[in-house]
Amino acid sequence: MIKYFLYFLFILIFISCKKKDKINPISTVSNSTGVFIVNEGNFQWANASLSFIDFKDNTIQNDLFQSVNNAPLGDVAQSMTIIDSLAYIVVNNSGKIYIINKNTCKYSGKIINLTSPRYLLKINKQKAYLTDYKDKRVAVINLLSNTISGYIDITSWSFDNKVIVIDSENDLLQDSISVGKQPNSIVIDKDNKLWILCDGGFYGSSYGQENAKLIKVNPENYLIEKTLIFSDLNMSPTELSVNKTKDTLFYINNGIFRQSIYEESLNTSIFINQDNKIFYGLSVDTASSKIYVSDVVDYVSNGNLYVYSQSGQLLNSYKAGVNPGEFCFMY
Amino acid sequence: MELLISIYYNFNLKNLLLFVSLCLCGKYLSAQDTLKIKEVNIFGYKKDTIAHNFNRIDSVIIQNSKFTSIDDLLKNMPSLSVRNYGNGSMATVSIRGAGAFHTKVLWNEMSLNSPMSGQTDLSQIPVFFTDNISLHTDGQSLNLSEGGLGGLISFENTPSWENSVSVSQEIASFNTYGNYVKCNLSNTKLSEKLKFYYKSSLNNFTYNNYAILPAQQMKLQNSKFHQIGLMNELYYKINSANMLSLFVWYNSSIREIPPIMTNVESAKYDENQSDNNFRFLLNYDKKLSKGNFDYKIGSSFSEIDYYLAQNNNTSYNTNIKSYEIFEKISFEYKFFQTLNLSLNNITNYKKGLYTEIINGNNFSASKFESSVYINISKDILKKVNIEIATRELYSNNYGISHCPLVLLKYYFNKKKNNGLVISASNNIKEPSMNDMYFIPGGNINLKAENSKNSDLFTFLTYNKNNFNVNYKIGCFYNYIQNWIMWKPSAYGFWTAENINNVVSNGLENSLNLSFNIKTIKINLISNYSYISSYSNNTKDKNQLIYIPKNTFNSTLYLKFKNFALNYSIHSESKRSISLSSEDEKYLESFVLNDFGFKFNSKIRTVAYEIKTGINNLFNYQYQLVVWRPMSGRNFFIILTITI
Repeated sequence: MIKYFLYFLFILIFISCKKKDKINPISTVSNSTGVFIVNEGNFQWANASLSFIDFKDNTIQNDLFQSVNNAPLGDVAQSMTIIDSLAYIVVNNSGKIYIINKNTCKYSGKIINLTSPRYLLKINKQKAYLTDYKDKRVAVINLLSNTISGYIDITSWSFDNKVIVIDSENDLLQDSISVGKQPNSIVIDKDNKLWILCDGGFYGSSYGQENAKLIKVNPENYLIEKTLIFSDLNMSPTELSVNKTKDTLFYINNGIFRQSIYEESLNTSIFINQDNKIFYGLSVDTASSKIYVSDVVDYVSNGNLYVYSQSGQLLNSYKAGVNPGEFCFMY
Repeated sequence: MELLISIYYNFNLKNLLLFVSLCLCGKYLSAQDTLKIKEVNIFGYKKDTIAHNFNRIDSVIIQNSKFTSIDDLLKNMPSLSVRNYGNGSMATVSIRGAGAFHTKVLWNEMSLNSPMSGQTDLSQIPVFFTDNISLHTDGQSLNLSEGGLGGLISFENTPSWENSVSVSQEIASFNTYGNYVKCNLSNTKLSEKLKFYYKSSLNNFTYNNYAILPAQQMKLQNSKFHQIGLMNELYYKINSANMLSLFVWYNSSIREIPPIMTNVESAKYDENQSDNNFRFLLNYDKKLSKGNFDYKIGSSFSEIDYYLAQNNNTSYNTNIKSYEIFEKISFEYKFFQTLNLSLNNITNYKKGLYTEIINGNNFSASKFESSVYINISKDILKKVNIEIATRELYSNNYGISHCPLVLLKYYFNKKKNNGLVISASNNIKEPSMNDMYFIPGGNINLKAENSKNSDLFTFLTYNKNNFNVNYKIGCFYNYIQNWIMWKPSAYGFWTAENINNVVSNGLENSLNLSFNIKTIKINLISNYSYISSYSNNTKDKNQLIYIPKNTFNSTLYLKFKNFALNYSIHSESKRSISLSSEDEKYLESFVLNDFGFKFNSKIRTVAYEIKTGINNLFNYQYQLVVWRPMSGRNFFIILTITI
């Protein structure tokens, strides 16, 4: 009996052995110029990732963060900002910012204890501002200590219609501009005028829904100079971008639309057809004027990236991670 | 050692006082003689058992797991995949490669599936509150209900015509305490069974968090839970053929929801959920000389409060209420020796109310549905029996749907109950209220999901002296059309869509072996299943997420005089976690080993039982849901006194 029990125990111990994880070869970006792609991943799946297109040979490396650092990037990567030699990747639902070396992608630090961070903007060498989806404050980040040094109270929230003006010298709320419901992107044109794209909210929202708007604002006096209203209530335009010469706007609205800053009405003719793709992220490389757009396929599969010339001709396409949303150019 | 420290520092006075007082109470009660009841003749007709026997979970397993939650017990069943977010957290089960919302769960034939989400949180159902558990994976589940596209789990309570009081105290790792009281009082006509339990845990186990940089060992945060439940069963025997039963069940829990491993460094985090459920059921059962008549009427109320705040800012606060009224009339009759008729009618009225307190989004919905089941079973040859059945369902949202079943049995040996069963059926599941009305993302244009199921299995038994073998081997093929999935949309929120047709097929093996070696009783229960489950809409035919291809579990029970030992192995092969068909990401395969030891003794009329054990003996680090760590090696001790 004891003999059989020992055999049984041996088998148990044997089948309980575990293989060691394989470590992927380390990839680096080196001193290339190119564009980082922040792949959001899916909420609560922590499958966000980082890709890089090298401009030298037009190749893409996927899952860079994981392969260099042997750890997942986190849950819903929202954006990336390069400040000097460091890249700050804002991981929204993980409530943190990972800091990596922009050339090696190697982990260099982190800013933690954040609620739902989204975008980081460099103000000067010591300071950056961080917006947050769930916090009605803009966090002031100390770039030397990687900590929150203070907050700027703002009254606005995700479901609102305000563009906030902040005095960046004193970190104080200066003013606000009422625009359309849910402003989602903002650019500045060659005449130093602000263009703000508002998606109008969604059906069933307790905050209500209205037609989307593209609004031109004079940053000197905060007055609205032009309001272009989208004709259909179901239109939900996003991802406003501007070209190299800052005289043409691009945005996604079931396809890519192009709009001259001098036109008095919305250009309704589609610039790049979406066909069976789902365009999600859009950015114009201000150095080359190439248009980078992401296709999320079905929001759960690996997405595609398309590079178009300024005239709308397809130049290149790539396979990226899940839900590629943001582009961050590195020169 | 961890357990001893835990006992020394954390054994709270409340538990001690409760335990001591119940022991004293037991001493008083022990002075009374056990009431002996007269022998009772129960008449009725004998049901065919070939296709039913293997559905029932062995009483040895139930007895051994009675202080755990149902999900913990079900992991030892074939073709089941438990999706558990951690101890005390949400636990669902998928059967035969289908989704968790394709598992129908019944309590005394009344549905436990939430009308809002369509799922059942099994962590809220203690094994302690059930007497019989059966798993129905073939078309015969239609007899009980439609909607179990993967399968159906049925919990039942049965009367116990005895007088006893039993008190149990559980102490386990991670500051886990449980108090269980069961009281049976009965005479020849009336039987009352009262069960109460309270369980709490800090659940703050240590794990290696390799999902953050730098990797570190840390304790699970925001993870404590409290559960309390009360169930009363009253059985009144009108006469030997008629019985009236009343069941009342109240269950409540408060649980914190820990962040996933990648999110532990976010701002001060408070996410919790409280659940309150109240159910009652009245049952009249009449035994006929050649059949059975049964009438049930019941109602349930459920409320869930979900709260999420970070940095003291409340982000979400939702309240979900649902009500359900249930009625079932069943009639079974054996007309001749070879012809059986079974009829039942189930009527449900459901109402749900969802309120998002912060953003003000809310909706309410109601649903009426009624179905009729008719089954004719006939022996067409000496060894061949055929069953033809259908459940016709009417709902105010989807009109009339049909769920037919054809089943053929061939007996190798009718006396020994050995045979072969082949069946084909159609089943249907209508979208839940969340699927249809949730704001934002609900879709009122969803089609009902339907499945075509086919099954072939053989069932062999061998009994000689004290050597008993029950063996089942079978295969199945299920095809689910219009699978509903929530997917992100272009509007920035998730929407419900019918997107998939899913094929699921596999092989199941079950063995139950018992024999004696001298005075040692040995029982081995083993299951193995192979499941291939993939979307028919993709080229790659990748395995669906969280569905292991291979599952093996085995438990060995040894009983010698007053001692009993059990050793369990549960293993699952790697499970895909890639929502994308091009990615290959998996949760690693795992093997869990649990060990238990039990000692029984009786001093006069008081029975004592001490049970202790180690779960996850080899301290395996594993996950059942991606980035949700499960506890490593942990200990428990349970002392039970029965009078």
